[in-house]
Amino acid sequence: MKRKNPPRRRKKTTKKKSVTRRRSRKTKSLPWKNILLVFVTFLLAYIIYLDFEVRSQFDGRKWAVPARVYARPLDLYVGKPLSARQLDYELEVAGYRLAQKNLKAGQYQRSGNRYRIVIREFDFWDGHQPPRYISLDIEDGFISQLQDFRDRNDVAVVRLQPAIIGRIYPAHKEDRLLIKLDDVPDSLIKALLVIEDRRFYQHHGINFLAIARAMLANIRAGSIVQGGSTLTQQLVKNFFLQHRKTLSRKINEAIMAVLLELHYSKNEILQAYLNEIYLGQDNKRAIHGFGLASRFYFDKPLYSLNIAEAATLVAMVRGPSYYDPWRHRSRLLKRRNHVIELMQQNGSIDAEQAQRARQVPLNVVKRTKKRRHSYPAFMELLKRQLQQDYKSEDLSSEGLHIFSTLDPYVQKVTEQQVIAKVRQLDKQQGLKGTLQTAVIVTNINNADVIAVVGDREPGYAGFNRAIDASRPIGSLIKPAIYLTALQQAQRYSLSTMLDDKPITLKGQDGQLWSPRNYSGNSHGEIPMFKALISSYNQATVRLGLKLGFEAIVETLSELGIKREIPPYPSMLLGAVPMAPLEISQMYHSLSAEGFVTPLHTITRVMTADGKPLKHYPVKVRQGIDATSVRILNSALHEVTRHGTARSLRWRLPEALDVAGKTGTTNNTRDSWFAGFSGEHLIVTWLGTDDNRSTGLTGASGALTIWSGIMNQIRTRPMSLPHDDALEYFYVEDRQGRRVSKSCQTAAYLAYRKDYPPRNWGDCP
Amino acid sequence: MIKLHSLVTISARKFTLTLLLLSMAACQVAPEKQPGWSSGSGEVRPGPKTTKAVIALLAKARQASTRSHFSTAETYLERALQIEPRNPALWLYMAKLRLYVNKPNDALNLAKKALALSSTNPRSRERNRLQADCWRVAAHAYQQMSKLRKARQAQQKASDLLN
Repeated sequence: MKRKNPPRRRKKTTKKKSVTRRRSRKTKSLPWKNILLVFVTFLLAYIIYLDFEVRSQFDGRKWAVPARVYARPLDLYVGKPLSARQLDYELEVAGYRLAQKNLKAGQYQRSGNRYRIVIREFDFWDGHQPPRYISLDIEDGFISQLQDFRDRNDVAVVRLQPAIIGRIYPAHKEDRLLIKLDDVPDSLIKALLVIEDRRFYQHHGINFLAIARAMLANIRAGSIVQGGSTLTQQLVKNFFLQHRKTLSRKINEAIMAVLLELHYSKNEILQAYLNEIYLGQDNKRAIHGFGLASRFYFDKPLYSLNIAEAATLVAMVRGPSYYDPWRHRSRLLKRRNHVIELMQQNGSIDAEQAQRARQVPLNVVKRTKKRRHSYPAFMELLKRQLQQDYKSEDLSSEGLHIFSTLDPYVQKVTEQQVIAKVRQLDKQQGLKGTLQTAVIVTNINNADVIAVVGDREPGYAGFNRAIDASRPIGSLIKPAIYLTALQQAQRYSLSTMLDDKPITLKGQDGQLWSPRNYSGNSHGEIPMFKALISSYNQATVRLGLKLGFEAIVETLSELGIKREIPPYPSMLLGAVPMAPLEISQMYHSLSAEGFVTPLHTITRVMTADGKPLKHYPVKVRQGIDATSVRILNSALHEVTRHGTARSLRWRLPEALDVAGKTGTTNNTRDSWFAGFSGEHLIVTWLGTDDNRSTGLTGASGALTIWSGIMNQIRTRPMSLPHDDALEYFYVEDRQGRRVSKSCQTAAYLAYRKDYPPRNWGDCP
Repeated sequence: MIKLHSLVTISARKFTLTLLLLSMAACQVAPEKQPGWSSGSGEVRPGPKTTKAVIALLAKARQASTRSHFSTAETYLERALQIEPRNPALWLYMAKLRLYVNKPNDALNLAKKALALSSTNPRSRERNRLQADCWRVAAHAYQQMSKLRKARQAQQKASDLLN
């Protein structure tokens, strides 16, 4: 109206005036035009900016899916050593639930030692394993029967799907399982649309009718009871914007919703919505998307949800904590039934379906109140090994499946032993809670690290002593010295006599050094095996000097020790700091008869969609010839029968042959035991972080934890193998001569066929 | 060069296939010490017969490797090795699979492992046959690495063991 006035006035003026007036009008109207122009330009630029934002975010949308870390899968077969206690535990950590009848995937029954298990389907690296219906009997600690309980056919071998033992999260702890639209049951989509956005397939991002309706409803109710946001708007809100309720956010949301609809199909938007939407909380973990929600609330894959379950999840969209199925059961039930009713009105389901769905209880899984199983020390070792191959952002967002070597049961046993024994030893020695520990359990066959504890409180994710505490190793170094000797077949056998007289030599700083035996006594001339099994320092130093530091360092390196070892005499008594992990590597090579395999925690990595990404294959390298190591191992076996670890004779079952070595450092600052059965290698360390004297030797400290673990896990005895170059003899420990088998104190030792022990001697 | 290389691979595959049956027969090698098993309660049991599971896994491994799915075959073998870790035939089979995928160094090391384990078998004919297989795998591995002299020596050892 205002603008129309000036032209009328213009008519009355002269031409000259009109020229000036035109000028002045020009100057008057210019700001308006400019402002408008600027505004439009700004708006356009802003829309272009939003458009760019929407497209780049949506196209390049990388769903932050944390990597999932699995335990090793448990193979079940007839003859598998397995106790009912262990199986119960394996089932518990893999999320199996006891049920009475009509077993579904993820459930099991137990009567006595007979089990029926429906193993969940699982995508292994070598293909999909469908659900398996297994019955098995456990007899005397072994699986004695394994069948498919539907067709009663014998099953040769089947894998229990592995438990998830951890996730590698991005900072915000969002978790989800990505799904494709095809995986989503029809009923879920229908339920979602009927309650959240009926005109989803018709509108262009905004539904004005719905907004008006919602406003009306809200005015009537006097509060916000209805939202008019379309799915697209909800997605935008979740996707790009913060959760502040401001007008500008609402406007942004609307513009972006329209832009999103311009560029992407309805199905693309719907799929993104289904994956993005927040659906609950599991402690610190945020449950996003229907794929994970289905697993979390129903322990089922999404595609197998029925109408009632689909309606339940949809009912929760509006407020996952307001409609929490455990805390607000009836509230959620009411809303679920409302969803079902709307579906019926809408014609998505018929009256009978609706009736049936309404009668079903919520059926969400029981919430486990038990402590979550977390394995901080193992996970840290695993992450370090992963970081050699992957960037940390890939680990926390690419949804990788990482198959680890953790044995949940062995880990549990290890933790229990650590907790109980460390507390007891700490009290006994008056250490006021300062006694610390580290334990690593390794599978000898494949060098899998199967359990790690790095603190006396195994659940505490602090300083990981198993990897990071480098402590003097004491006598644990001795096997490397004796092995260096045994490789020289012509010069050394286990019966070679050594001198255990006191010795004084010059140390690295020019100071004189006189190593003494632990007992303070000298033993004169003794056979080599006796010096090893009784851990005599004087004889060992003399032997080491004869062999030369270089040869010993070479042996250590052949056993897989990468650390540089200074060639000083004190090295002969283990004044070399190493972490329990390094000791595990060294003793693994001994347990594997001289074959070196780098210890590892990962076997395979798969992409989010189940494609194999990386395989860490079984690799071996022969470091030292098997015969020499077998001879050494026969002596390490004697350590546990007549040597420093002889208490194992009563601590372990008689038939469980094991080999090992104790280690104690000056003033009992460190207590070590490293030893193995035929299947497991365990390294235990005890000490305090500030290097105090603990009063514990290897035998009185670390050994007790070691034997506690070895006793509780099912393991094979070590083998004392006869090979074509070896022969075994019973030998007495004064002069290393042969004696008869009946001699109680005789050691049972391996010799090269060409160099057997001299003569027969008397049983002492 | 390429031709020679592929020739070696093909011949390796052929001979491996024929050896597969041998491996399956040999997988029942008796353990060298009476296998007592330990448990928490301290009882000792006779060794369980686990060979059924191992044979089933080997059959699957064979199926996979005839279809050239070597990494799948390896998966089955890894599982079999968990059950019978001291069975040299399984290690030897693993060595052969590495030959297929042109990893001669891995193959050689695995064959050495099989050799070391087979040396504990008291039945000499069975042992010699398996060790001859190990040396043949070693020979092929050396050949793939173009270490022809060592390949010949290994082949000779294989022949000596069978005579």
